[in-house]
Amino acid sequence: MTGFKNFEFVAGLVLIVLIGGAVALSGLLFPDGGRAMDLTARLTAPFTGWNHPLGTDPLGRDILARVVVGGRVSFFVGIVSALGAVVIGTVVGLLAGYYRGPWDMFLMRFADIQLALPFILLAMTVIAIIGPGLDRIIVLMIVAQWVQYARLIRGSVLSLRQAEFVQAAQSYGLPDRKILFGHILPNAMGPLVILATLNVANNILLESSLTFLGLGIDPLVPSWGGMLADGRNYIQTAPWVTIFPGLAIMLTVLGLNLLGDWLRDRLDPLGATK
Amino acid sequence: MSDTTAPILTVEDLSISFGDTEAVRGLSFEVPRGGTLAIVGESGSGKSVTSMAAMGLLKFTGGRVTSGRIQLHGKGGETEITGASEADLRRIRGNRISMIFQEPMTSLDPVFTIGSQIGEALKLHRGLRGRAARDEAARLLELVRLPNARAQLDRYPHQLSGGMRQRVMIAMAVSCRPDLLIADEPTTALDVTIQAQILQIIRDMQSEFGTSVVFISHDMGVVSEMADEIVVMRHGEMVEAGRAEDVILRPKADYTRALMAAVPKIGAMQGQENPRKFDLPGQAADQTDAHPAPERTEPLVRLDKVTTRYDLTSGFLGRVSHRVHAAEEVSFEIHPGETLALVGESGSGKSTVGKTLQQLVTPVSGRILYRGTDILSLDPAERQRFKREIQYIFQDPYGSLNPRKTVKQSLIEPMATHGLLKKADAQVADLLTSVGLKPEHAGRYPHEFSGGQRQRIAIARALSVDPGLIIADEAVSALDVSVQAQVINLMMDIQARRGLAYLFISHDMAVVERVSHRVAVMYLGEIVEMGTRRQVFETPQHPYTKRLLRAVPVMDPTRPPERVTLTGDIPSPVRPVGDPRRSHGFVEVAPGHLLADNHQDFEKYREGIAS
Repeated sequence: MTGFKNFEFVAGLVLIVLIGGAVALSGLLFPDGGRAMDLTARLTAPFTGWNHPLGTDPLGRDILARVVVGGRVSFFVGIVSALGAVVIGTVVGLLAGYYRGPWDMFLMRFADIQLALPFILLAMTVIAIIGPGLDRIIVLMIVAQWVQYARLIRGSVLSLRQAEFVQAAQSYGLPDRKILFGHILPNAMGPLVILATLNVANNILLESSLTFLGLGIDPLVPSWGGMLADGRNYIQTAPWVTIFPGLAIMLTVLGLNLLGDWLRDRLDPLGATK
Repeated sequence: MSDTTAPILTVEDLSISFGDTEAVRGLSFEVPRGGTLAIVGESGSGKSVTSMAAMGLLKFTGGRVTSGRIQLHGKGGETEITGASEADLRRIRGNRISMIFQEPMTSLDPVFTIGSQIGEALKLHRGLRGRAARDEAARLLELVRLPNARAQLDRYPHQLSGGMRQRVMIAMAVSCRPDLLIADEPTTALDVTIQAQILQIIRDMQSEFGTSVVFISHDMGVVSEMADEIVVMRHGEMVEAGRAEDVILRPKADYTRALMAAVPKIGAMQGQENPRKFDLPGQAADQTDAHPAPERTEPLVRLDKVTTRYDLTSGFLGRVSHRVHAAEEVSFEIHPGETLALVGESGSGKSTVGKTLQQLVTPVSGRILYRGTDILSLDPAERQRFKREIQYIFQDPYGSLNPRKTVKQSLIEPMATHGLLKKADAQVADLLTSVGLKPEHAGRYPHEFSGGQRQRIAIARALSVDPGLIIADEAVSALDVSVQAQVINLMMDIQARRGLAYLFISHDMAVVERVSHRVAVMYLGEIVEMGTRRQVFETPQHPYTKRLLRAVPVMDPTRPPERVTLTGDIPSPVRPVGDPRRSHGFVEVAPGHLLADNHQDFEKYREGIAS
């Protein structure tokens, strides 16, 4: 079991470091930002030459360059929006679950209402009002997703606040802040970490849906989601246009999930010694 | 009762393994026809595993029989359970052997009515359907003395109390007139008066149907009331076996003797003024030193008419419709160095009193004075500082330590909170040594310790801030008897050394008799009788106290168990808003011995509430 856990960690770390490193260095590696068109080499198949190792898209743009550069937007949107939602949702969930009272009721009814709203509808309305842009997409995703975390955390807190070790901490006068962040949060982290890593993947895809609908970022800026959408018409004749950005998303999510699993087990002393 | 013609069940050289670990080794015993065999042992002794093997349920728990055999000699002829096919086992289970489990809360399916669950057993094994099954189910419930048997058939498990559920389990278990009934800790989760009723019902069933019983328990008192023969187990091996009388009165094995010494025996403290530690073998000789009496000067803590109620809300807007009257006008004093025991059954409000005193819940009215200071009138910051003076030890040693913190982190936290942390490592080492653990345990996590060790850690944590009073809320109830005796001895040592006061909350009369200077008996949120331990135990005045004391199983196999009158459950303390119960006053029957002034109305009053 220990061997597998270490393998999980190493594999996850290698994946994320490789992808993240390439994305971070994309400015150096591909100074043209993946926009250079080579109309003489449109839809080149992958692995046929050194000019375009992963082939080209219908406009003759290099897929490798676009995958690496596109990671900037996708990584950023996926991770920042998930982190933002985790932080806000966790704080709200902790406070609502621990103190209960009218605020809890208000926040949770608000969360119910928001969960009932379809995301695309919400996105279209908001973007129509405030206009498109990367920062706005992120804010929108945070607004849409914090409720999931808040509900999840609140559920755990409701049972943990009755736990005897929490009552014990109350009984020796530990301040609430320390009870919440020192005792309750570490015991409620497991499902949160898993949900967050899954949501990173979702957010990368959501960004592509929004871009596809014209609600996202500048369509000229490459992003994994945007590339998936672009390749849709060529999936029969030139599947590589879709496959490589898809693979990038898959490997990123896999890496994050492996790291998330490892992190969850590390946080749990019972799991660590099993 | 015992008929020695032929045994009903023989176990020969049985060994059971879970993976690579052996849970039971070379166990042999016979269950007498129509008699009761008790298997006694502490946790991990393999007693429950043995009973699962006898039911042929072992493979569902991940274990397997590695050698030996179990044979049932029932009315349907010989069956070897260890070699039987699954189809044969299904016919035997519930039909010729049936089982009662410990947890009446979970052993009934919550989504089916009582009637349909008993009906299912009757259909499966006796082919009864519809009207006939319903009539038979009602008859069975009458047999286990469930009031209004026919009406109960349509109720769901959650609508019944623990004691009533356990009666339903018994009714189901005997529904097919089994040859053998296996009862695995059937009364451990129940209150003592309810336990007495359930034991009575099992005895009645036995004499009515001639059923043989395998009774598994850790409680020597209960075993002594039920068993004809006893098997004592430890670490999967049989330590001693024999007739109940011999094993209890003349134990041969060292382990059995140690176990008996650790069992608190009610009445053992007669004539003693002060508490006394258990005489455990291998313990230092300072046993004979009398436990110190408390200082009768100024009281350390005084509760003055403390009333705590919990709101129950209902409906969409969360309107308060009912209140749990958990503690009503509770008043008492605890002196420095004194142990006051708060006894009562579940729902009596004894834990609520502890939690109110610890400021974990806020009372509706009343005053709590600590060395003359009214804690409740202080501002929040002062109150927080006061939490240092009173510490709490919880019942569950598995739940009261944060599983994600090391022992050291858990011990440091209270000291850091109250600014008492100087040299962390040395302080932690001192604390661990003072509760009989080793300083090198500091870096470990709670799951690496046994229940008794965890409770020692919890005690160390309570001691870390040098409090004046420790509230021990059922602090030893979840422990094995031998560990329980050690932890009680430790607590008394600490009291003698530091002059600590304890509020000892417990349902176990025998333990209370051992540890306390004074005793307060609670019933339905009120103290009904309070006095020194000798006053309450030797001259109990209140009918409820007498009933409690009578219900405690006595470890004396020569005395036939007392016939228990089967009265109902403890009434509920939940009352509608605006309908408070009238509190009673007290009369002083002897100096310091207080008695509820309405004690004569008790039985009437109880009936009135129950109906």
